[in-house]
Amino acid sequence: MDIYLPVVGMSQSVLVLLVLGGGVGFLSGLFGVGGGWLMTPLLIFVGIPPSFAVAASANQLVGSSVTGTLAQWRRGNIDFTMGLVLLAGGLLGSVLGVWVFAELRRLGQIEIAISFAYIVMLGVLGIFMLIESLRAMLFPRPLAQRKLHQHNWTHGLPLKMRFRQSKLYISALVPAGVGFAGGFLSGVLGVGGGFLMVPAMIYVLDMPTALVPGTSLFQIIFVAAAVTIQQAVENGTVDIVLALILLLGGVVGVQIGLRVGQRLKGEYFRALLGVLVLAAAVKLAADLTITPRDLYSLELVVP
Amino acid sequence: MRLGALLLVVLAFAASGARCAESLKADLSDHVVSITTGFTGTSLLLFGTRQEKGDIVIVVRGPPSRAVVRRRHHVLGFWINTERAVFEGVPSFYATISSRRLDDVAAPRVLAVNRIGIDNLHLALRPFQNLDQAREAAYRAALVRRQERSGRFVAETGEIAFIGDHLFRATIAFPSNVPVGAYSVEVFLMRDGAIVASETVPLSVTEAGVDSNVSQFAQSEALAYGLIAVAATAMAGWLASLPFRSR
Repeated sequence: MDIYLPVVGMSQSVLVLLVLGGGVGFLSGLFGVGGGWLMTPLLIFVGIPPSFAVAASANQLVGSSVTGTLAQWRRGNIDFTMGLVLLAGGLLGSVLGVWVFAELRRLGQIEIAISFAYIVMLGVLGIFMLIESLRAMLFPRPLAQRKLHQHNWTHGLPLKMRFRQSKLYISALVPAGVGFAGGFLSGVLGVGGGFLMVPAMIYVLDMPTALVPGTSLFQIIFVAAAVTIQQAVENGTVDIVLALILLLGGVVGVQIGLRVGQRLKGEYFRALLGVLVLAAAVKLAADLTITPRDLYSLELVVP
Repeated sequence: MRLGALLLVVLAFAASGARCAESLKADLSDHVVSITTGFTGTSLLLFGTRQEKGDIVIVVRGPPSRAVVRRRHHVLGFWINTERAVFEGVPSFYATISSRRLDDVAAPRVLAVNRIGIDNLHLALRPFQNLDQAREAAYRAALVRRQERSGRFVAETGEIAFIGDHLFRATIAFPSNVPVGAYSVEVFLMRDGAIVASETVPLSVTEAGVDSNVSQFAQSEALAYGLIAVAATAMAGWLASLPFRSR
């Protein structure tokens, strides 16, 4: 059965969209990663124009991160003070991101920019996942004990703030900067930025690992909401029908993924995911480097 | 039921046509194409009568639009859009259906003046674009090629059925990506290379039902739409967490 997506202006199979949302949800449930960075390229693969794919991805991210945040909140795993500081940076970053998006779209380079960013991002992420899981397979025990509290250059910055729940006393500029980078990616690519923020929160901010996913998800709700609203106003690319179908599939997928994930050995599947992510990067790179069948493309603008 | 009613209309047409002795009369089975949630393309029936012998040519024209054609160049191993040409007043949809090949039906000048046939479309380049003639021609060809490939420029020959000497009918197909707006359907009766009679039937392609409201609202009230989109997905996310609260 096909459904007409009113803002995109094209029909798409409901089943394909549900499977896509479900598949991304399944992977996020299984691996505990956000799915935004997978959602956008997959939507592009099934024929949704990149600018609409980014907006729908951000919109459905609002819903999926609400679900995730509520689950983490019940376990008391959110540092709200830290979340708000991250958010302040995130909102600024998203404004810049959406502006860059609109500029690139005006110049006719948005599709290539998105593909290019994804090649770099998925490539780095895939390699990182492969290395990390291979290391876990080969050396089951942690290699070295990290110091409880490391002092680095970030501790010299002003505006020091106390984050009680994370047991940290650091400059607010550091989490705000991390949030800014995540928000920028969110604005340009429709991703939550969790894959960038989670390692940054662990290694740069030195937050307790248990608080990281919840705090990251909490602030992603608002950044994704801000991106959705800005995309709607600046670019008119938000398709609510598309976002809700993806979310519907995703909700089911996450729950299945969580259950399967509790029974399986993580590192083998992380290695598999790493391979999948690398394959997606190679596919996108091939699309950009192989001589296209038609060098010309057409955009119709009805005044 | 609908087909029977249509047949009655056709017969009535045939009868009235005979009385008034108008040389050409035509109408569509529907004057509105509604794009609804399940829209995957549609077709309309065009029917009419001719009181004189001759060929029938049907021209369907969609709302004019601006066409931006971009060309990729090989830059550092990547194919990147580096050049573009902008055309104004390009029909977003254009179809011809003729009983014989257009060249056999009318003189080239007649086709050119009436802009019948894809080759005779007036694709005006926006001024001051600094394109030499060869490149301009390449862009023009690319525009037509892309439109043909997406099914928005169509030329069909021999797809008109004649019933007896007077009645004729043809099917006009619209793809799922048909642009929204005001259309015109022109029907020409041609003989000896010239136009004997013509008739224009209006047609409108609109988004209908919930979808039209959504896309209109998204355009006119972008901010409110964005807020609603956020609220709807946030609500859906909250609802989704309810069944799993115990965990």
